[in-house]
This record gives sequence, structure tokens and C-alpha cells, in this order.
Amino acid sequence: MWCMQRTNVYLTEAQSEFLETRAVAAGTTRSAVLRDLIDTAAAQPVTVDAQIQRALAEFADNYGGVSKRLFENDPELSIDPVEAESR
Amino acid sequence: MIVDDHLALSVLSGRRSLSEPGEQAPSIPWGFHFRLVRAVLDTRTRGRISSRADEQMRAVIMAPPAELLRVLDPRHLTLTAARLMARYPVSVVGAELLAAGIVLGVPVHVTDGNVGRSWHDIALAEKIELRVQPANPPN
Repeated sequence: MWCMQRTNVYLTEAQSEFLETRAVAAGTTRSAVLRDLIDTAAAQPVTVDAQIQRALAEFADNYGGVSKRLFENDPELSIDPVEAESR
Repeated sequence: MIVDDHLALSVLSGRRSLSEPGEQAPSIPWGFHFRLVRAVLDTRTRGRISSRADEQMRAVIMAPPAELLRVLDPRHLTLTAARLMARYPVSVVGAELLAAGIVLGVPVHVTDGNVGRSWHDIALAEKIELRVQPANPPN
């Protein structure tokens, strides 16, 4: 359990029953079922549908105007060297 | 081909298809991907993530589908990038981007607003194919 983080989750009655049923059927705990469900969801490939494409395009429009300046004082992420600017 | 963060967004949004049919998906160096992830996580620059589309957009940027955009392993570029930084006035992300062009032997595409001051000279000296794209492509 050393690598786990304790998390309190509010569930509906139906969700709680679902977890309990799954746990009993699999001979495991509700927490283990919940972790498995999260792992399964996280492993699903991300699909880029039209709605996400629109959000990405809008973000790209905003980002294009600020990209070069966005991290101009950050030596790790700036397009041009920061130290050269201040000399 | 290698792309910067802005072109990566254009590719993910479906606005640009830089690769020919049958070609591998464009690749973004780790440093430029980090810029993008940092920008999308930073509420000072982005504002609050407000919708489901925004949440999903963030997920796509953080872990792009490999068939659309590949994130390069920086370890293969470290030596070449460090050598570039030792020779030229170039930033960390700039050196990694240009190193990717050298190591992989493929063109490096960047948007016109995102070109470092020394990049053209470095590209010329190191025989890197640096292609500058307009930030807003004609429709």
C-alpha cells in the first residue's frame, strides 16, 4: 500500500451496489474493483472527435500568438536563450 | 518530420496534414511537448478548463494518439543537443528540436512566430532542413 494515496469518494447507492457486486463476484475488495475500472479507463486510446478538434483549433489560434513569448523568461522552455537576453 | 508545439496543435486539430499518405506521423521533441503540456495546465495562460471538450482536449495534448503525433524520447537527442548548445547560442528546447533533425535526418517544421534567432544559421551550418510554416495557413 506504500504507493497508494488514500482518497474519499462519494458514490450513489447504485454505484456502491455495483462495486459491492463486482467485488463479491471477483472475490476482491471494492477498492480493488475501483482501481481496476480506473486502470481500464486510463488505458483506453484517446480519440479526437470533431468537438475536440474544434477545441484544439481554438486553442491553437490563441497559442500561436503567444507561443514564443509564453516562456521567454524560462531558461528551460524559452525559444531563444534567456541568458543571452540579459547580457 | 519534426514539428514544434504550435504545428503539433494544428496537426492534432486536423487543420494541417503535414505528412504524405503512408508516411509516419509527425514527431514533436519532448521539450516542445513539455511546453505545450505546461501551457495547457497553466491557468494563468489558459484560464479555467471549462468544458468537457476542454478536458478531452487536454487529455489529447498530454497523451497524443501515436497515429497523429509521436513524442520523441529525449535520450536519443541529448548528446547532439548538448553539442549544439556548446557551439551555438541556442536554448534547450531549440537545441533538442534541431538535434532531432540531425539525428533522425528528417525536416524540421516550425511556425514563423516560433523561430529562434540562431536557428537558420545553425540549420545552414549543420545541414538541417528547417522549414518555416505560416502560423495561419491559407484556407
